[in-house]
Amino acid sequence: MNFVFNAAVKDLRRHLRDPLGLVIWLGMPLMIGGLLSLLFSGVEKAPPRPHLLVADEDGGLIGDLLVRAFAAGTAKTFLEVEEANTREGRERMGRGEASALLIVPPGFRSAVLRDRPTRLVLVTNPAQRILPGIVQEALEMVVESIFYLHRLAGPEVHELLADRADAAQQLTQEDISRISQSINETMQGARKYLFPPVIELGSSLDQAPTAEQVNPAKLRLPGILFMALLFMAGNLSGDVWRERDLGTLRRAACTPASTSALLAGKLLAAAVVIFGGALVVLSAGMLYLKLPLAKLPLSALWSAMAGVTFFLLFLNIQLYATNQRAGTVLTNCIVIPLMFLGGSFVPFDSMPAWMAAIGRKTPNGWALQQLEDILFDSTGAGSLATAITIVLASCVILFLISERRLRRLI
Amino acid sequence: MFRDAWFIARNDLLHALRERETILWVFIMPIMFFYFIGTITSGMGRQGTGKDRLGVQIPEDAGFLAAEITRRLDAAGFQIVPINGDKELDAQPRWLTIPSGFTENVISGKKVVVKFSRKNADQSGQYDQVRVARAVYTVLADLVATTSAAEQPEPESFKRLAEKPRHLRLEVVPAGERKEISSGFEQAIPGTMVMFTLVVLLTSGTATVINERCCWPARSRDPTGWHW
Repeated sequence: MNFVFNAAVKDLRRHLRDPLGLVIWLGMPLMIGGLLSLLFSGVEKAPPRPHLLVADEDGGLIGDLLVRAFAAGTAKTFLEVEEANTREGRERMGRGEASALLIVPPGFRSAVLRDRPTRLVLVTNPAQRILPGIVQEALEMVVESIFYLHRLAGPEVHELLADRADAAQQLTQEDISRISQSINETMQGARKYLFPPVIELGSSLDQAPTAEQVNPAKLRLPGILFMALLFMAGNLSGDVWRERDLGTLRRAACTPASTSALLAGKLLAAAVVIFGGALVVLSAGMLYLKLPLAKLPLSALWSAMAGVTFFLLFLNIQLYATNQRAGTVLTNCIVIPLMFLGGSFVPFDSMPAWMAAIGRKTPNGWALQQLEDILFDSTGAGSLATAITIVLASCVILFLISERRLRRLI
Repeated sequence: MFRDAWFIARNDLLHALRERETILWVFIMPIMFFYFIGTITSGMGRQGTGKDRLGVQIPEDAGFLAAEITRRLDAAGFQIVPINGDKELDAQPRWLTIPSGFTENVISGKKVVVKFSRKNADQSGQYDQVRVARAVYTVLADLVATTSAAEQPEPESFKRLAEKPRHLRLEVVPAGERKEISSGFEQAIPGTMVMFTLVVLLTSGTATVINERCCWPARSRDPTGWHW
């Protein structure tokens, strides 16, 4: 046991003599994660409302009606409407200050009441796609509602508004009464379906109570941590070649201690470095993202266990390589694709479905999902125990394989 | 002078190309980065038909009014995906559920609720909400307009109503030309090439100079002379 401890201390001292390496292993993922967080920080804010400018060239009544309609009740949370004149509106649209500009042409009110051809012009902001689309859909509903009003009460309205030059053609009291009764009968007929509406649209937001609900910035923390773990494991695993070149590996093999003890010492040193790195990244991330620090110990422990497994996996690859350069090349060939597929650069939800399915089955992708469950979801003791058992079993198998290979190399 | 410089350049290049790390970082890794970053970022845009997928659960006895709703949803830019069970709903970002006996209940004046569910609460969710509401409530408006004209609510009467001229129209014009922001492979390939050019020039290039200056005797043991 003394030998294992001494070997671990020796390796730790060697690692501490290269602080720049430690800084790079931890600093690079933190920097990448920080940049990605800054890049996507805007998505956490509430979605903006479409901003509609209304230029009423028809005397101001329609524009005033629209502003009042969309400023009342729930509509004001949906759309922001502002009156402007046409020239000012076009200038502001040119500067991108609004989502759309509605131009009401002269004679619009008269044409609508008499059901004559006319048009509304909607100038949309080309830099936006969804907000002008919302405005367009809302205005299409207004246009269609005018069509339906004409279907219901159009003839009566036309009769009321018809031009009458001759005094004899003016509407009499009986005419007005007849028209009113006609409109009333139409409304009575529509009552069956409209008051109240027989079709109701119920809307709901269906978000599964999983990590999908979590803030996107928080979901990047496990990916950044596992990037750091993969960097550390890959570089720590190459240390066996450095010791071989220095001759200390053969010298250690000449001692009465077994190869297993030597390897256990290296494993212990790597575990301490990986645990320390995980603790630093998790602490920084959890403080920045205001996550509960009560989950830090279990998260750090799980991350360290995963990191040790990666270390043993890469150590095996290094030991089966012909030289240090070949080992480094092989390790990099595996680390980079694992980082991409395993959710270290991009969360699984942002990947194509087939890529995410593969990524979740990679060792780091699987371990990352367990970490997400620990950080953002209440993971069950049973599932965590199963995951820990799998990791420990993997460590034992990889340790035995690497010990056997190391014995042959020495 | 140029001959000497050419000599050094040619030999350094041959020496660098003999190393596997050079082949890996200059030729293999960039292609890997192109593929991964291009695939992931091209998935962030619209896919396939360019329409938003909308799962629609319609019972067999829903009637012609349900078909009217789906027709209008298709015209509103949705890709209609028929759903046969609750399990298939989970795969959809948004879905609409039409109750059983929809047409019969509506025509008889019984209130029915059409449920629209979505997974996103952002701007696109609001846009979806507006489009679905327009499709559903225009069907109701068609029903009211048809019955007020003393016609039976049926597909032919709805078709006649749709063919009536609409004198008021909304003309949509963009204020200028839309700037298309490149994504997917259009952005990944040039971006990755610039990244690797900088990485290879700044690391391998400078490392080679330092190696030759300081560590020439050690190159026979560790040709890179670079310890992480």
